[in-house]
Amino acid sequence: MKRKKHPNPDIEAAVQYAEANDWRYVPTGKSGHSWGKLRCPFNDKICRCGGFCQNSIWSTPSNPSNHAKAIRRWVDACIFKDKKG
Amino acid sequence: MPDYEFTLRFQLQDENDNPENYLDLLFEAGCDDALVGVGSLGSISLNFTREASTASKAVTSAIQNVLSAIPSAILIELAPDLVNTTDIADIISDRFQKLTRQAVRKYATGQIARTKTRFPPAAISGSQPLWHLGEVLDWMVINEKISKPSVISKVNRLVETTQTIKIFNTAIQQNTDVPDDLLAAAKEIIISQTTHR
Repeated sequence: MKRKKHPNPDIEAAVQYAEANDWRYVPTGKSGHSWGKLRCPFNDKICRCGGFCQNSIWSTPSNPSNHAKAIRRWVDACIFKDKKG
Repeated sequence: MPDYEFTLRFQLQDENDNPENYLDLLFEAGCDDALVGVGSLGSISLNFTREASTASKAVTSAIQNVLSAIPSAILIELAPDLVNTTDIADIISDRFQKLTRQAVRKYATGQIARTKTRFPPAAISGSQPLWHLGEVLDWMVINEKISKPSVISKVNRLVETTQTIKIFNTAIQQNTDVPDDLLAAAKEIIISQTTHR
């Protein structure tokens, strides 16, 4: 199933960057403010205590360009990025 | 207003509590400037990029926002604070300028000539030594390892953030049952040492 686009272009680009690194979009069921979640392909508790293996993305964050930067930063900060096959 | 970036980690009361249950409450409490990590049951992590006049205002207001949404949450850790050589290289490369882990190792082991000050001592030694990020950044600026004028103010903001974070992390660790007399003795020794630092 194709996911819906994020309404903000900066965030949509950051989500596509995450997807290019094998993160997967999952809808958030219980929240009206969350646009959806991104799941890390490695999901390993050893990385940042597992707290950021799945992130919620807001539909309308206070500052979309900062939110987009934060998404990219968390993709890059995964300790397994470029390491596991 | 400048923005400050930091991460707060909270434990939820029930170890099976799904952090997603709190997303809307967090948004409405003012955490719309955070990326919320909902990767594990029983805890929640928030990566803030918060605009404020000072780092301490940014950090304290963020903690208050979370606690107003989830009053029973327990603050466990703030980051960035303690970092290893890989973290130092990643953080500096990501935000300021290219820096390899090998270069950080050289600085830390004193294998470079002519520095103005000694590299800060590791806060925690052992097989994986850890440093306070703020102390390392200060050292990098004083010794002109970071010298681009365009990034100095960003570095200073991160140093300011780590100083606030360190105070909170210390308070978290001290908030355990410690015999008063032992705590007093420990404080006396540490305070007497600061005079010849």
